[in-house]
Amino acid sequence: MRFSIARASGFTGLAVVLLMLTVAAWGKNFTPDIRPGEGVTEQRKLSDYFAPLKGTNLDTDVFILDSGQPGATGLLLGGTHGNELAGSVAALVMVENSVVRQGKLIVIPYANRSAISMRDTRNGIKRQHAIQSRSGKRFLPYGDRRTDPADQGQADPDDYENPAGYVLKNGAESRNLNRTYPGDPEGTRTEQVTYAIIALIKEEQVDISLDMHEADTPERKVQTDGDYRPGGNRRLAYTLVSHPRGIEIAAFALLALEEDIEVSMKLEESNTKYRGLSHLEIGNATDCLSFLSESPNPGQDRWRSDGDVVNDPKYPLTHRVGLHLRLFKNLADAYADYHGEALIIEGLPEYQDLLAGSIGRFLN
Amino acid sequence: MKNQIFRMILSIALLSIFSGTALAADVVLTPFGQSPDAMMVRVVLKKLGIDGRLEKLLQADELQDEKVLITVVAGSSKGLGEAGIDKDAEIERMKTLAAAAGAKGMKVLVMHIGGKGRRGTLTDVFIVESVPMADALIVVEGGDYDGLFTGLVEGKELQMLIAPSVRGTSEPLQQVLTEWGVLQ
Repeated sequence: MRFSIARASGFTGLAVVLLMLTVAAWGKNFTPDIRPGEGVTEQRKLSDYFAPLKGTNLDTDVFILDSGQPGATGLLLGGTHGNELAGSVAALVMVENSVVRQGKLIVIPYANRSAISMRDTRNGIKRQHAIQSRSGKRFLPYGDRRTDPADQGQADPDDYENPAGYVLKNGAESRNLNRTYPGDPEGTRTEQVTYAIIALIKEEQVDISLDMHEADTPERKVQTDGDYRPGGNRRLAYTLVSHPRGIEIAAFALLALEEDIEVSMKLEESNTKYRGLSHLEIGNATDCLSFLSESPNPGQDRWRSDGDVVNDPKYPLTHRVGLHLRLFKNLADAYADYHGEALIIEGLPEYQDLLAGSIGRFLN
Repeated sequence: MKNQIFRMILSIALLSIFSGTALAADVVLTPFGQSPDAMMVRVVLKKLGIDGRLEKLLQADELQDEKVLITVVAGSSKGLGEAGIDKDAEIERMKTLAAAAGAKGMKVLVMHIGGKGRRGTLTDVFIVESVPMADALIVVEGGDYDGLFTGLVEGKELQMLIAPSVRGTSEPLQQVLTEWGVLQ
């Protein structure tokens, strides 16, 4: 009997190991489905800007849409956090539809590819979301906030001191891409990714960048007695955070957003004492004016585990994607007005067109 | 099309500013609570052709020959931290500043543009302190959702104008600044 239990335990252990290896292998082999449109003039890898990333699960696709005409260079970052779907999908819509007529646009749809290869650990949102694209059924991946521990190459520390010297009490934040700027070539894999992004910005002389994020919605759960449960709204959604050098351009972009699509967003300036975030460190380390946008994602509401991240009636993916794209366009327009260098993008759907149907109509 | 019109208006505003026809010296802005909302108002003013000077920590002795002091109320713990001051110091700064502005014959316009999202314990403290300083008040819809502003202006001869959005503050700003001789 003792032998049988031991043998059974052995089988169970073996099964668990096999399962872990299978899941790990699946993560390693995860390749996001991106179908570039005719506006993409060059496809690169992030490892082209920092070679040690090559062959890792953190190397990621970089799409260049170059008009060949002088103008501003913009960088659009999606997927910094794998559970913030709208940023990645906005980047996909950009890559799969737009043509740049003046200046140059660089798009990274999955800035943290490792994070998108994992299941969401916050709310357990399902991995794949089926949509009907222009060419048939297609799946949008939904991942986790941080780098897969297996890809990080080292255990989480108790406290994490990031490359900017800021100490975070939660060591897991060492795997949060948006706490590791400006990166470190000798650091963890996650720090190497942010180092590579900064290297890209310098090499490509990026003028303006937008890191697209999502936060919990402004909703609170209504209890059966009609009362409200507190803590549902941290007021981060509908915010544009700007590096101090870009604050006036950000204000112009937000006013234009009210004009265009009648959505008001809150302006915030980077907190210069809270280090390691893209909007501050990109602007500090380079000449680029750096911004970060936040849209409301039902999948991030802690009070519900069944948030519909694609078709929520109040915060549909189309609304969130349209918000980021319009904001990026308005930032580019305001940059052109201030600095005289334009980034002109054609082929993007209008916000109202996005709202009129499913997101798949704008994906290949 | 809407955006083209906006950009045209913006270009005209910027052109008029840079060509020197703007009323550069008439308006000075400062936040009350150190949020970036004052920058939003500065941009609305630019669209009206007014290049208002924005000073985050404007002091009484830094007032020049402006006609109007605009203070945009919203509390930001982050902003106060960045500025290295606490809420009491910020209230003291604004009380001194408003008194100095009054002594110089300047008008004080208090604005709250963040709607309900920019309300909260810290902001409300600043709102309560700011209203008595005001010669006029502009509030974006939602900012007075619980009647705080209405209650504070009750019984006072104080003009409170409601705007539908930040962009929509353009109209009441135009009205107030015309009454005060900044705009023709």
